[in-house]
Amino acid sequence: MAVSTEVGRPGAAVDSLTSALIDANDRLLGLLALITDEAPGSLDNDVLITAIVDRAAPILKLDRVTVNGAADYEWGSDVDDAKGSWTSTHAIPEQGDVDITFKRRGSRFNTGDTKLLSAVAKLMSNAITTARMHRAAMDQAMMAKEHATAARITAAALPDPERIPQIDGLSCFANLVPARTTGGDLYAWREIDGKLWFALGDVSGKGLPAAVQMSTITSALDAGFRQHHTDGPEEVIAAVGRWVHHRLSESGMFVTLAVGSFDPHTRTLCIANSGHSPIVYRRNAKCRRIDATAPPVGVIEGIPTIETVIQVEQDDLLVLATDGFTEQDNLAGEMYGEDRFDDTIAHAVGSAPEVGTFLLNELAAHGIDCEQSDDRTLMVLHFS
Amino acid sequence: MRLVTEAPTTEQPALVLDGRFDAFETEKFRAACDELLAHGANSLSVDLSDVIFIDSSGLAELVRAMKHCRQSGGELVIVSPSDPVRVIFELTRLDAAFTIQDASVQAS
Repeated sequence: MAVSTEVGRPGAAVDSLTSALIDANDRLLGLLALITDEAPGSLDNDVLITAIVDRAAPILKLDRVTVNGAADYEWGSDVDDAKGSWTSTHAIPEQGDVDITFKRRGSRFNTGDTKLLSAVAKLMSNAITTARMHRAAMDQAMMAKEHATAARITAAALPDPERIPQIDGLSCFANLVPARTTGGDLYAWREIDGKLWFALGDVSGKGLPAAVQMSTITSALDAGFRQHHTDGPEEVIAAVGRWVHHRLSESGMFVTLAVGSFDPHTRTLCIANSGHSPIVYRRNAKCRRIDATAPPVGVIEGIPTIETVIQVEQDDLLVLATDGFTEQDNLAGEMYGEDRFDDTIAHAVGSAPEVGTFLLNELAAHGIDCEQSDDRTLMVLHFS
Repeated sequence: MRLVTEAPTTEQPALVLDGRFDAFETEKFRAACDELLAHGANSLSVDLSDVIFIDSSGLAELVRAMKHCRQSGGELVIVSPSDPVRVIFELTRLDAAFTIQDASVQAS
């Protein structure tokens, strides 16, 4: 506050003092308005800072405002002959420092001015920080939305759980639960010329990268079923391998894959297995494993599988699952395990949906209050 | 998982792992492999004798490193896999894709 006095004119001194007090009061009211005014609904630094500068400049008689560093901003024309110049530095989280400079031609900044400038500069740095945080939150929300969309797109590659193939002498059940919104587990089934074609697989890794590969593989399987349904499952796996090996290999991924067919007329079940486990065949309460005969697809190109052929009998059961099923921990850190898996299958009764529901309930009882750590898929075929 | 690098300046350095080798540990393994392969090694020994669990992400890292070695004319050798790891290699038939040795064979 500048106060001038004129000797011999006491009335003028009072006038001047009054004027200075009014001026100071106006500046305080202006600053109060600046602080309490609603910020513009923008995440743009220029818009936010301009809203503050437009208010502060008349109060502080500013000619030039600049922001340099983590944010850039210029207001007013350049001032070479400024009598007042004041700069403060503010740290913007995760972005760096900004130097905020105020200049004016008319007079130097006094102590009162610098206190107000300090407050204005703080408002400006807060606006920049808030805008940055809002932008980050919006980016995160956008990414989550895109992830959810991608998850929906990849999940669409899987069969509609309500559309179960209707094949004479066979009931079917499948259940897939990804550990996250989406994952690399897959299954497929299709009826072609009265025969059932089915597959179950597990892409290495988790989340969206695995899901993208999963979606490609389900498309390849569908094409394989159509093109090789007069051949055997080993030809379907070989075709899928030819189509997806390089794509998987370049991504450093692979897929364990079992493909099968069931002919209800001859009651013949054929299965080819590239690196997948567990696959269990139950007859008369005894379980046997259908082991892999080749490494997973994507590891080494062109290794053929050897088909397992089974003449099915009444009440035989085929159960395929992914490792997320057998590796589910309980509260004691104990895995469900392949032995318990076999035992449960041995004692399961009823159609494929009944057996599938029973197996899922048993697993849920084991893993109660435990997080599902991996994608989990179960497929059951019951022969009647 | 604990990961120790042995003989890093030789032609065939060794990585010794223990604990769980799963999706949470793959970055550490990949960084160690890439570091060794970027500094002249074209073969790696990976000792899995004290690994108690391996999942598909861990297996995928081994496959990736194996391919990297073979592209450079070298080999990735799995040394003395523990029983749980050996079972997984057998179930997935990855034992047909990897060179697997016992520590005693390697030492000789």
